Amino acid sequence: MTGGLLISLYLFTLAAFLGLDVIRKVPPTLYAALATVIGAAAALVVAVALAAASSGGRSAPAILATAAVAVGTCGVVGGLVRGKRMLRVGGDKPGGTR
Amino acid sequence: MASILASLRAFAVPILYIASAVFFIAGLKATCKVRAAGRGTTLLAIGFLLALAGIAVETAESDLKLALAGVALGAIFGLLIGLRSRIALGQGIGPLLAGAGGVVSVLVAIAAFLSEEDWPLAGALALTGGLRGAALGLAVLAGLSALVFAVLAAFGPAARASGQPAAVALSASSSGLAAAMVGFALGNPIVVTVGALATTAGWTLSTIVAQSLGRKPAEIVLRSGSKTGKAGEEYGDVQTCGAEEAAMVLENAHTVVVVPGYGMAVAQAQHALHDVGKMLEQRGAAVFYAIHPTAGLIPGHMNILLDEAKVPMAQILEWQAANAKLAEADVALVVGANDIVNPATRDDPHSAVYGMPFIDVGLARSVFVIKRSLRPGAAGVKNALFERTNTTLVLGDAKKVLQAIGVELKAQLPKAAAA
Repeated sequence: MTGGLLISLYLFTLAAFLGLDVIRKVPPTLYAALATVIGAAAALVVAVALAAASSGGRSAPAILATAAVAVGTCGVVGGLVRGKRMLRVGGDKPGGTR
Repeated sequence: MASILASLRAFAVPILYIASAVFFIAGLKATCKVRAAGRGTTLLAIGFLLALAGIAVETAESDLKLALAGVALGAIFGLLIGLRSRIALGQGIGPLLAGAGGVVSVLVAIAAFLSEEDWPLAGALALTGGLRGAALGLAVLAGLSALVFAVLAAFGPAARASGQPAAVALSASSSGLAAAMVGFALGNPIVVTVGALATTAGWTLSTIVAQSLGRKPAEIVLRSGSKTGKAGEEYGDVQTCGAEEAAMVLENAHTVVVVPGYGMAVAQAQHALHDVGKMLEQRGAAVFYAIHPTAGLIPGHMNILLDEAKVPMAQILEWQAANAKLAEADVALVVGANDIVNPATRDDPHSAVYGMPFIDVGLARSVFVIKRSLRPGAAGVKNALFERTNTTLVLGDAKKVLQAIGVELKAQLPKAAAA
């Protein structure tokens, strides 16, 4: 079981450092869109909820997981669509932060 | 046959996850660049689909009724909020989306507590016992703080200020941490990876946003208003942009008038400035350098520096000639000058700078001002130029900003030559 923890820690550490490095020199026009899109990425945890909700039961955990699926899908779809819209606004008019 | 399928499945899952992680990273990276940002959301969407495909392969035989109902409901609300929420800064439900990952993590953590260790899909990486409980507990804490940040971003003091993206990014960061903790507890590598990525990416972004406003992330989230200075000297709605956007406007300009000032001298940016000027000329633009009699520390300071950088005399204009040229200029590029381009020298008889010679950069179609900060110049007065709608500030050291603009211009040069 500690093997699982170690592999997860390994992934977490590498990805965390990558996150520090990926976000660098962001022009202010993109602040809002980037924040929105990172939020959407974090909602990927919906994948775990999906697996749980499709396990078949009608127990409390399955109902909770279904609610989680709804919230998570909303976060992913909404975040990406909103991010895309923000980019379109920013892209038309360089320098036009509003 | 069954064993072949099983081994295919065993291979497909990690490959889908790895591909998904690559798309997430590429998507976030693209969204940091103005020219590439349009691709960012597409790359992220592909990342999501790959991760979901991985999960689908992992959970092959299952009852999808509940899950699909949840997806349908979520997608409808997601589309509604995504398409309808207001994008402009201000109160609205849009920023709440960043907390969704946190809420999901809390719900999943509670469900996992309830179902104890017979959680479906607990992979080989899943934790057990106390470690599992600890990870789920952390997920609940991080998830709730993500929700709090999201609510503050949507309706709190940050909602009205230009710091709103910092609050959204903090919420996204907490959501990412919560997601990563759920991934730890239940053993899902892609959720750990993307969660960790979002944690530090969100945190970094919030500090970048805060830094650009000269504040700390916590201040932005909890208190409204801009940094307080002397009454009447605060700047309201200023537009800022990065070197990349300034380069995008410059490369389409036919006439550019550069107005250097004390800031160029301090940063020793004259060579970087002339390099940018030469690149603009290669693109066919006419570039002029406007010299104000009192720019810099001593009269003639700018002439000396521009001469040192070998700027041709024919391109150097005195202030009256510069004003005539500015009327037909596409871009005025102010490099570390402040009082000499302050409209109060002409418009405000009560101002300390009233009556001084004045270079009217506002005549140009758009104005970029490279400045270290919004601090007042030598005369200690506010400059209304910075709040005008056709003025954009590029905050930073003049030399570094000009070099960054140069890199952007150079990158676009071959394409332009081919066209």
